[in-house]
Amino acid sequence: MIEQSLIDLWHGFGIALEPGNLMWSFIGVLIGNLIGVLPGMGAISAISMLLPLTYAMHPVPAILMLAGIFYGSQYGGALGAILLNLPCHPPHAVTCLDGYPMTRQGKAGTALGITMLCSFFAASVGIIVMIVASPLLVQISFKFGPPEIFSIMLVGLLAGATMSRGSPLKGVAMTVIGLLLGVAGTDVLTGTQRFTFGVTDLGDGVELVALALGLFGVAEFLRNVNRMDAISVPLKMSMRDMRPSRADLRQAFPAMLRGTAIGTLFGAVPGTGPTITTFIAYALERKIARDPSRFGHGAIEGVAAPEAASHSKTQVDFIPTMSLGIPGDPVMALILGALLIQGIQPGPQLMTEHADLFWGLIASFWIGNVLLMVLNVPLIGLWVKLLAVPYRFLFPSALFFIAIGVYSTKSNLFEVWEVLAFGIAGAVFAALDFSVAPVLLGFVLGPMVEDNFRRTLLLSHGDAMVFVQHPISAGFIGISVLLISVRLYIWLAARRRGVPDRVEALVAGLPPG
Amino acid sequence: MTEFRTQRVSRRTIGKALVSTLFAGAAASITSPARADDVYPTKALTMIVPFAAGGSADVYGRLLAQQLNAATGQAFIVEDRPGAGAIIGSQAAAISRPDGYTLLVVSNTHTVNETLFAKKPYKLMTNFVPVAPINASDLVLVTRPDLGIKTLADLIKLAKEKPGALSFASSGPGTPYHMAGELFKQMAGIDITHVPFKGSSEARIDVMGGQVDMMFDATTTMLGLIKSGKVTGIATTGTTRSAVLPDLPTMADAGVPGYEAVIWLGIVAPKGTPDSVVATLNALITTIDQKPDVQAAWEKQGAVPVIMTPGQFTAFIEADIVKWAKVVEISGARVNN
Repeated sequence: MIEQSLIDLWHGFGIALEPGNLMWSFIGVLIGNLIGVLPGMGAISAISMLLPLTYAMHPVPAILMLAGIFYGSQYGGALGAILLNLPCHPPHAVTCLDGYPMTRQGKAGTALGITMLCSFFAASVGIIVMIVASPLLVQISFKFGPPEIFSIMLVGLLAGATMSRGSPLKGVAMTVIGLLLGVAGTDVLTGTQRFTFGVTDLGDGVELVALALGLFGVAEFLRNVNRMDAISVPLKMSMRDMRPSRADLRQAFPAMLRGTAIGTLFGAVPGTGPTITTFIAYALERKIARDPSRFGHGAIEGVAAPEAASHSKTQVDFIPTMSLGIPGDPVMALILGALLIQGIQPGPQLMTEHADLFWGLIASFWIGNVLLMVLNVPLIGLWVKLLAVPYRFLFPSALFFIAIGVYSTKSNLFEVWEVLAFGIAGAVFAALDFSVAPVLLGFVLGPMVEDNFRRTLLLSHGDAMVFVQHPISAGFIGISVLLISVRLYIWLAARRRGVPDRVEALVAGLPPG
Repeated sequence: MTEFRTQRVSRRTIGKALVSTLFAGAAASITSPARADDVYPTKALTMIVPFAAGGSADVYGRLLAQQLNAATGQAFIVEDRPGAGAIIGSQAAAISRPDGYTLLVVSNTHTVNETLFAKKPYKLMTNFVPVAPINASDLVLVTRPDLGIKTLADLIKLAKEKPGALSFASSGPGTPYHMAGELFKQMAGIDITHVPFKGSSEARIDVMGGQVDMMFDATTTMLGLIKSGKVTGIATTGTTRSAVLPDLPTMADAGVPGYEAVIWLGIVAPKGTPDSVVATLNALITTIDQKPDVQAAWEKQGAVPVIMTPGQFTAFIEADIVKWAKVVEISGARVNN
């Protein structure tokens, strides 16, 4: 089985390396990278813009180009997060937490270098997993029904509460705001509209991209608007500074391995999106770090782990997309749409009926990542120089692109207003020293926890015992209980020793923040 | 100062990135020059697709736009404006100028919405004029393989033995997959539990994983999964057998006489669009529907062309609204906004 796969893969490399195909891969990566760097523009805008071009193309180069755009824009998105605190692609929101502080410390080049290494490494691992373990992973993914997803997300919600800096009470408050925002829109199970206030545009709830860009990027701009001249970043422009030092690498390497492992694991579970994966990778790093206080102030692990997680998750996510014809996210849905336009039906038969396309695509995943690396080693210097643009020019143009980018995905002006509203809210939060990451976490996880909880009860006819009867689900529930009871024990022990009663400790039945 | 130089370099770089992006966008939508001898259309048209990019309405909409472009020499720009069960994009079309240069792609989601949404800003038959249908795709009823059910008769029997025990997945309340299930429930006189998911992908995975017992889904999506035994195909939902799954009987033949639940697509224009424009577009779309290469391509994707005059299409939509109104009423589904 695996031998045959390797032979097919070899054949795939032959196809992906054909000059014509290689050229389209390169064009895809380049365009994706350039578009991804623009604030507000992500893979979806890039692919939907270039989709019509593929009508006239042969299917193989067309798909290779789209896949190239996909990685290119993903990496480009990390650039925005690190350099400008702009998470154009929501999974990169966590990268902002430590990536942007690194930039402020003049270590932007290091952060970008580490990001590149991690994405390349994680993608390579993801591709190997995809080739070797694909049938197994499909089996695993079927084991995750509503109760399992509920339980795993519950752990995520508890673990993710460590995201907040400073007061745990504030962290919990922000998570709750995120949960409430996540509830807005049409209820998936009944069709009831919640918190829409009769506004049709809120029918699908709050847009994740608008929330992420507003809370992180726009909020940062608004806060800095009165001290534009004061916040220039020290720039040292030698190639050597771009390269991560040996000490940096030593710190980042284990984080990269852990991030990759988390991404691979989550890749196997359908319906857990990449944003949660990166949050959990970050939370884990903070949890096991010897000095958690470094996080949020430019800890290199805080960049390495989420970036690795997001790239391996993305790669492994291709398994259901390709082997079952089921897209893992909207970008994958677009790529499948492109296949449909070419008259190719994705599904289990794709591997046999269109072997050249399937294995060519897999080979091109790797080649695309190599191209991305080749392209970005010289470009990193250039990206960092972006920061030399005076903020009075950089900010307005970034805002301009945010507006265009957010508008372009759905041609809906309402979402541009959403960005503005969240930007103002984010600036207020930041001024009051509330950290915004838990909002995003609650927003993403809340609806998943709720929907899967209710869906489970619907299937079990109201019997809540199913959560502990399903072994996988029971395991995750056990972890949640453990997390809470350990916290409670510590709190009670501290109280008995006469430490002053503190509200924070109570609410942090969640792990410490 | 060296800083000044680096500023210049980077500004130029941004400029370059900008230009190449804009160019890429423009290249995608570059139009062929207008032909002077045509009265209509004389400029680019916008086709609003109120569904997500990559979905079947988008895919067929784009294919139609391409054909219309070839036939008229004018660009038909497809604008995806998804959201709120197609209401956002439809409302945008409803308030646009009725000059024949803004069209809306509709499906049975629209006829269901007429009853499903207690309040919505437009009414299908008041704010739009039907232009032409495009095509229709069958759905297929599949069950999880370990249910051990192979035929529709067995499925109905099992459902009658255990009322409420069996479940069917859908991509959300009011979606065509949900409505097909409700129609089945009502016409077969069985009680099965509706389990909505956020999208059809999640629903599919849970049927394959054995969490949910059955679902109605697109034939092409299910073809490979049925062949590889990941789900069991029971019956298709058209009036005749599906070209994609010719081995399966129709629901009507296999035990639910009169059952029909297909996904149809069509074009409507804002009310007030001149009759001559509607007639021209109808003729153009009819010609495209009759082209053998178009028909062959659609057949592979599980769709058959549907040809009607504007008058017939109007009657069809009215009847469809009535048909789904009953199903929606009995199912109790309602979206209150």
